[in-house]
Amino acid sequence: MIYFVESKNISNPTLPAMNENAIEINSLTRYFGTKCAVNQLSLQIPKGSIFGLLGRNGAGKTTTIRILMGLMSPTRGSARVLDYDCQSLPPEARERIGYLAEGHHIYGWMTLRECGKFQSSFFRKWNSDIFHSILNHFRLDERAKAGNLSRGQRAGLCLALTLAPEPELLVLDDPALGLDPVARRSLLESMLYVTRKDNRTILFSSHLLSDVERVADRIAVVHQGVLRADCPVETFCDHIRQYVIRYNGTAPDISTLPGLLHSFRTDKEISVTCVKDDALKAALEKLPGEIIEVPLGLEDAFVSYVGERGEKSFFLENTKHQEATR
Amino acid sequence: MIAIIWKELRENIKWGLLGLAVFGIALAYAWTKVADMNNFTGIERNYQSLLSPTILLAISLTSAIVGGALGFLQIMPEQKRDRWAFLVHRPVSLETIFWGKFAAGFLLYFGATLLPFAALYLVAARPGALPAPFDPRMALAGFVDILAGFTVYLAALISSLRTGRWLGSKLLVIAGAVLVMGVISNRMEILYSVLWFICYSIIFLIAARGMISNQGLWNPLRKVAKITFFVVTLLGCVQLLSWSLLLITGLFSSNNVSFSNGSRYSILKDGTPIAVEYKNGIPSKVLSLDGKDFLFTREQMARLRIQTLDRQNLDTSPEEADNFSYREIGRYVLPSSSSTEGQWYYSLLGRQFMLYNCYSKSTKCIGILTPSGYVAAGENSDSRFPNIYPGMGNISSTPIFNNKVYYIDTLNLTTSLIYTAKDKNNIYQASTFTPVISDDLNIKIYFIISLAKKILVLDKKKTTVIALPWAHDKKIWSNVGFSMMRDESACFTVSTPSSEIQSKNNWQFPIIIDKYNTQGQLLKSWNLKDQPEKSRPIPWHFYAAGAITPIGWYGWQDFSYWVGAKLKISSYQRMWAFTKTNWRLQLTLWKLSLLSSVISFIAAFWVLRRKGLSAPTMAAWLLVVTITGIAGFLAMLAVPEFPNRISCPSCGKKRRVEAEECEHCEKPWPLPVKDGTEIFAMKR
Repeated sequence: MIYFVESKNISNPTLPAMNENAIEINSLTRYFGTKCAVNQLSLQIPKGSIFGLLGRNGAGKTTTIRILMGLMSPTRGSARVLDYDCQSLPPEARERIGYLAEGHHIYGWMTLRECGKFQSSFFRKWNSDIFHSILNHFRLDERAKAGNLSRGQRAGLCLALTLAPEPELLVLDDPALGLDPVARRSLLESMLYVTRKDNRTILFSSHLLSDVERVADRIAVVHQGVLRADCPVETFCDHIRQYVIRYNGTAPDISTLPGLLHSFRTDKEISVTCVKDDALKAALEKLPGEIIEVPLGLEDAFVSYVGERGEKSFFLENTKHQEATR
Repeated sequence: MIAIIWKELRENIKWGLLGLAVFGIALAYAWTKVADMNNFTGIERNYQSLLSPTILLAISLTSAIVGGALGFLQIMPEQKRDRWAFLVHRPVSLETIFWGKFAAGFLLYFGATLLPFAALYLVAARPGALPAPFDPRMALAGFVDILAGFTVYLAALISSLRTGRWLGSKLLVIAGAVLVMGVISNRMEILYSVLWFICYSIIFLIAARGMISNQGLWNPLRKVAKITFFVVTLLGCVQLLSWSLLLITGLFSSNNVSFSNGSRYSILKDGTPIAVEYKNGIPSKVLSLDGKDFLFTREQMARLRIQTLDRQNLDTSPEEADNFSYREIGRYVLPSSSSTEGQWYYSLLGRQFMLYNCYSKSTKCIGILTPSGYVAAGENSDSRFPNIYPGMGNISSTPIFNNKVYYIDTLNLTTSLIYTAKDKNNIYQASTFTPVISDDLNIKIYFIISLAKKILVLDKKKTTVIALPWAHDKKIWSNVGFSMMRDESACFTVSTPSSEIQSKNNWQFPIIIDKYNTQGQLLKSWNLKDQPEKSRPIPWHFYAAGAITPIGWYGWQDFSYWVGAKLKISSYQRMWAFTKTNWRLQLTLWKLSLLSSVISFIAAFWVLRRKGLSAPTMAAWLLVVTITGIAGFLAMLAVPEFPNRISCPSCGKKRRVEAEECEHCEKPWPLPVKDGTEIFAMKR
């Protein structure tokens, strides 16, 4: 039985104390050649939280997750997962960690039943009900070959294999990558189902911010290998502010605005996105023209936060002028 | 583990079956070549049945290909990062996963190779399958080649697990396995082959096990894994150097005629002298002595027996030379040779002369060698010597014991004394010759007994048919072949110069064929200029060995011979003698080794300084490179991941990215620069 839960943060009404972390990352650094992919990343993920790891492509999310899963070694720094050094996770630790990689790999020559049987043989704890429930939820026939499944179905099967051992920690690396909205929704529902258990931690990376907004209670934003934000989703959205400044005559100088992420200038107005700061309000008040605050969702806030910084402009008048003189 | 093995078997069974098919086809093809008695090239050797070089070559090549492909196919498709993660992220240790993969690979490899080989064995053992003797032990050489092929499988595991460049350590590991294959296959006794196989397999396994647990990287491998991985790569470097040397010597050598080319002179059983031209060791053309093509009848072809085979006797006595030749051509060869009677073959098994009927495959013991001499079967009262054990020895149907020459009549299964000399040292050589070319019932057999001052030719009644003088210096022309015209109107002798003397003194002597009448008067003589075998070249792999320094090379050899001596493996004594007594080779090796050491040390010092290694690590590498020479230097370049160095943000000098503090200014890495847009909220 799959429960669809609208509300987020259903995992635990009260987050555990700070020292009860499922994952602790300490100055994690990873170089590929001379390129630094992850730069001194420090992060704590409390037990029982649903933690979204966000960032653009190449930001270092997957690298971080792969290091946490012991699939890659860090250049410097360390990380502990469920109190184990991530570079030497023993079988007991792996039994408590469910990991779903972005490729949703399974052995195509196995039937779904064989997949379940194969996977269950490694675990002391295997909840067949969860496995079958998720398969049913994705309408999967156990006699089918895994290789014949669609991408969404494969994701469902992988999720079933990952969730059936009832892991304490679930690490999902962009689980909805390449899925259509229906499959994505199914995946999300299944994921939410498992979070109903107490003290279960989920770390997931995703580009689908609407999903993140729905399920995550805390996010970390990694940009060019550096951790730029680590806060609850609401705090993040609350901190990214967009204002439209309508002006007449000379455009106001916005380059000195504190926490300025980027601005977009058209003929008569400037749209500025800033990180909320105590000094920001005062600085805005000094600017000439009408200032209107625009509310931002997570997606807009994220795009503004990790997008290209600086000023962009688009002048309609110039375009018209050029057309007239042609 | 069971689940992993099951998964691996299910996943790779298709490759196993493909390997089985490839191996089976290769063996079937080789068998058809061997079974073709009209094939001139095979005629010298096909009596060895499963020991035929054609079959052994097919086994070696195909088992290496099957092993290598299986190793790669077991790992590489799964190495894409998500697939690998799916495999390794489960509550079992990497060790379990590795052993599961290995067990499945082991079963698939040996299934794919041993099943066709067993089928070949059954075919070869079938009476009448090949007009050649068959002994179950003939399968040992092929079995060892299959074992040797398994090292390529192990190397493929290492290579595919290794994170590195294909044209680097990955390739070197495979080259190392090829070298190891040669080492295992070319041991002359099964015991030593198996011993080497076990040793090298353990080395390869430890290295492979290290690779899987360490994401294919050198650091932080455990010490034992580092050593084994370095050894495997070092072997690859030696192999590559050897190949390079072979290529260079092949391309630029002024004397391109190798010792396996040229022509050799022979006498057919009907007394006709011929010259057989060889190309790359394979007879390519048969000429009469006047240089015209010699045309065989089919019968002659089938009965051809080269009388003056190049013995490659090196520095050994003629008796030992026979052993050496046999061992070199076919390992564990059960000494066997076509008897004059065609279908019967004789053989020395330990101390017993055995007879085989090539069509019925029946065997019969006809005599036993004891310390007191030769005793006919059934008459041996010494219970200590009925031993049957695999052994090799000079084989002749006219064995010499002390001062007596016996004849083993393989047709009537009897033995008889044919000649007694005054002094055992007086008898130099004894052989038989028969001019029979068809299945005549009245076989004429001549015994040729080389004495100190003359060569006697006796008939079956032990009467002297002809007595010939040593027409040429017997120190040089030590090997004399003989043939008699069918009508006994004339006879021929072929005097072949000792290759040992030619080699040592860099001389070149002709082969001399003399024609005599029945009174022993010389009628005609041919001085046949021998082909360029005057100086047997030092095998190329000895030069390659020079790339390893004296300590490495001689240390390895001494260890090898120490083991050989401990295990009482007699064949090793002689090989050692060859290397030890060949001072020209010794000197060359020492010079090369010293040069290699010096060059490697300087090059390694320069490279390591630039890489900024710590002093202890650098010292360790320099020591290793000095011992292992150029090969070790190349392995050093391929094996470790040298520290990644970038400019220090504090002092600007190059610093290691792994180190927390700069080795120059001792400052830590600065924290990422904050731009005021960071959002950090304390957790509740």
